[in-house]
Amino acid sequence: MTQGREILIEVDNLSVEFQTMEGVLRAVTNLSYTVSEGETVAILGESGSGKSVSIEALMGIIDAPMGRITGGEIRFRGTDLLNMPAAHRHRINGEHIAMIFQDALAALNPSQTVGTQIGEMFTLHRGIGQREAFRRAIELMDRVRIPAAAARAHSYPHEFSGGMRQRIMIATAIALEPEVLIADEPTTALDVTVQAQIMDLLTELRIERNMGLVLISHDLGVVADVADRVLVMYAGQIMECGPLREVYRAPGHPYSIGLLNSIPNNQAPHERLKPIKGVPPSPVNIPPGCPFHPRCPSAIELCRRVVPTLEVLPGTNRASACHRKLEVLKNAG
Amino acid sequence: MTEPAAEDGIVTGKIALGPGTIMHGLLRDKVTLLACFFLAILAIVAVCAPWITPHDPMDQNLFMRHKPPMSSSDSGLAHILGTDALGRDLLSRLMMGAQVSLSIGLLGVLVSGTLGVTLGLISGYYRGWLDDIIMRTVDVMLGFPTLLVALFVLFVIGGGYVNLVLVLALTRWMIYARVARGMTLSLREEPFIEGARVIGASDFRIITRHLWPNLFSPVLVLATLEVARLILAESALSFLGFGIQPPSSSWGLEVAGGRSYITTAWWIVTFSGAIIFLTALSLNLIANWLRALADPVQRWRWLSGQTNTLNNPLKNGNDTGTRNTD
Amino acid sequence: MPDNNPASEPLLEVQDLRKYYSHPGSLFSEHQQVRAVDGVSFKLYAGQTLGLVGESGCGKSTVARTIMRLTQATGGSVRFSGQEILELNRRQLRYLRRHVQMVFQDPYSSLSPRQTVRQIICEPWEVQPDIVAPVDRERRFADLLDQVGLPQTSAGRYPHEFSGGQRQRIGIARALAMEPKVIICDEPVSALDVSVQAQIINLLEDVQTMTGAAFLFIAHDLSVVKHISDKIAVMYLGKIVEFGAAGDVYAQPSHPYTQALLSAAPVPDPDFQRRRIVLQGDVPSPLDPPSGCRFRTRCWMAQDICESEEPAILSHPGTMSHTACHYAGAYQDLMSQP
Repeated sequence: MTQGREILIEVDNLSVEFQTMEGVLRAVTNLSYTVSEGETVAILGESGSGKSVSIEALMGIIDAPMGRITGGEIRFRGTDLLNMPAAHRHRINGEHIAMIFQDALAALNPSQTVGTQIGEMFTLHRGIGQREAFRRAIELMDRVRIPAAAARAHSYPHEFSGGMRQRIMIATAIALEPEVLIADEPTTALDVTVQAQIMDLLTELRIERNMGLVLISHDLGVVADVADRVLVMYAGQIMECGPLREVYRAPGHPYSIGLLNSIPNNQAPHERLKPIKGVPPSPVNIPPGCPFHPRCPSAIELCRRVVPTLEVLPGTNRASACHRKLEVLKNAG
Repeated sequence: MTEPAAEDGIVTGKIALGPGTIMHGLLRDKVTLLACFFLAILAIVAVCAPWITPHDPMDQNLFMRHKPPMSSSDSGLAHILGTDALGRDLLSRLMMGAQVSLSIGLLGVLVSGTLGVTLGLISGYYRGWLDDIIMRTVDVMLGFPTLLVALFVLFVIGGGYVNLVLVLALTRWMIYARVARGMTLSLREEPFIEGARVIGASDFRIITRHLWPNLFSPVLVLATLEVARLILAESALSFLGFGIQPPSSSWGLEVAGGRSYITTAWWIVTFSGAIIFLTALSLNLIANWLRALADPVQRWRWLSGQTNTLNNPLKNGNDTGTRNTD
Repeated sequence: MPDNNPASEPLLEVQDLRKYYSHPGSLFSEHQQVRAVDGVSFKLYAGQTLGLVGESGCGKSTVARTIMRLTQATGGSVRFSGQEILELNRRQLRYLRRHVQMVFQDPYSSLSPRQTVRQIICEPWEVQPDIVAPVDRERRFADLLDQVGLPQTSAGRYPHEFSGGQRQRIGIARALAMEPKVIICDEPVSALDVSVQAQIINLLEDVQTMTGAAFLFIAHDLSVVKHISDKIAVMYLGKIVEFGAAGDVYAQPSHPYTQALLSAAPVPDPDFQRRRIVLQGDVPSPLDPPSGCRFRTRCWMAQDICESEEPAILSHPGTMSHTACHYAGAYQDLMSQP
């Protein structure tokens, strides 16, 4: 629990479904978490875990009419986002909640100079004139450490490297000083050295502006670097959540344990990794009971029938959705 | 020893294109279903024409010329669509014409398609000077107005069935070549083509086993449209006297025969023209449907009968957001 | 040139491999060359894994493709079992294909979408019938499915019915169908989920144990490469800058680029304190690589000699790997720099 910091975003029992030819796709089920000022929350999950869909719900960009929110609430500073009139909702995006994506090239307009694009945040949302907007854009580019910003503001997205484009996207996102920044796999497509720079930049900006940062990632290393709290998602549900150190050092869910064992990290070279057997389920075919049970080495009969609720582990700041969490914790620790 | 992959890990949300999907798709779109029925009946008629015409299409009877539809005749069966200038039953003529027009369309597409796709595949795969030559030829030939060229050639070598098919094929192969080349150019860079090279597959094998099957869908769509086009072209050429020659019948010829009598014997032009129109329309509808089916994303949208009407996308899209079409 | 196992003959010997791409000149610039691979040398022994590591644009994939003859090398030599393969004509290439195979990166586009699993895996036998006699093919096919951990029911299915990890297994099975002695893995797990990556890594290790094949493992994920490799070569702008045993390179990187790379790699350990080396500037354009040592424009140790003289890859005293740096071995002093 973060004390003394205002809670910016509250996701409360969110469920999202998609209608497909093969049946109902349950992308997110009963998801709950909060994001406070100045904290980094990481949503960790593999493909099909629902992490991206949950953010789309937050931003209001779910692909309707196939997808719809079937339950729960999302609140920003206490105000209900889901039932907000569309016009008002659109203003929240950009001014209060901003997002950066994985693929910067696709997110930027190839036919506009980057200075103009960043400047658009000011011209469209604040009614500021173009020249002044451009000037502010250059300032932002400086802030995100794009060298020779004044000159490069006249260039087009394709003239920049991948890392630079990410910085441009970040500049656009923070232009209106949002309170929450969501980063969806921001560095997955980047080289390791550039990745490190971008993650440093995000952390810096978060501290400087006291923003809440939501990081979506599948990379345990990147999360370990920057997160304060971690949510581990699987098949649209939270498996475990809690402070970073605790979840990593003494995971309380078989899935988290499995993930941590899957990555090569200081094992003896050529010592076999211990992967989780099987594959993540198709979201159209989520197993009954605990969605992880077919792959879980600790599964018992109960796990097949009853969906475990997310419960706090006694004496800790963590919660785990596992019927056998106490044993799991004891064995792992 | 190795952890096995799970049995049931079949993961994709994509809809595979199987007979089930096709049936389901057809049933949702009644108009295309109708078009399919129409063409099916037409095909049956075309095949069985010699045996099922109500009257002998060649049977001239000058006393029965220009009789309106539903006139009675000596043999007992009415002339359902009337008679033409020589007293021949129009319906029977049109049924025989179906055989001619449809087969020309199909044969023409077969010849032009085979030629065009082959050249396009070679052009796109090998590139270099071969590509240049083929594509320049395509450009030059596309510069000529199809029908005029066909007219001229047929004028020189004479009309008739075989010549007509050849000429139509030779004026249309370029379309297939372009499409095939374009797709080949993008496909050849795909890793699975490299994978085929890596196991030592010959160029021939790559082209026939790896490239062509992936070209099939768009070429099929194109071919369907082209059948319509060729039928229309044949009608036009026959109408002008350069295509099918009497006493054989084709739809275009029938239209020609009724041209001077539009005010007096309107049914000749009307019914002949209608059958051409309906056939071309049906083919176009089916081509459109095939194209939608071939693209997985569109396939989804189209099969679930949902459109993109956006209410508040945050609300349950249940109420007014989705329309249940048909 | 670095040698790793003098006891036996190398299976694959690459010497001074070069691949240049022509960049057509325009009205404003002359004809230029992109030196994607500019003098790469290494030896690969049976049963061994050589990891090739580097960031995008370093040329590692180009090395793979040039060895596989998917693209024509500009210069240098590649010998397989003593036989020069860069000059093989098309017919002779089939000999190469038999013994040197490849696993591709993207499981979603590396399998032919219109072929069934059986057709994909058995196709190598149609192309090169003498690998497996027709009577044995069905049984061998079933064995391969077992070996890669795919259920027997997969045979008649199409790639799009499988997940990414399963598709990679199909790709590996196809490579194995050729019974190769060398397998080049070009980023085979980069596109997979974490939990599936581990399965495929284990599978590759099992394959190596069972077949004794040599692997050239190309990846950008340093922890994966370290885990699976015996030796590692680090590439930068078309050249190998460091080469040595996997453990040595990780524990004591002697080239500044390797140090920077390792310091940037995220470690899934919340308590790990990283001394991050932040490189200045961007990667130079491969059209116009810096003179002398290519890394000098971003190197905090660069001196005049680095500009005038290109360092050869050598063993330096005080270091455990071979390094292309004039100052390798000055490691201890330099790590205290900010």
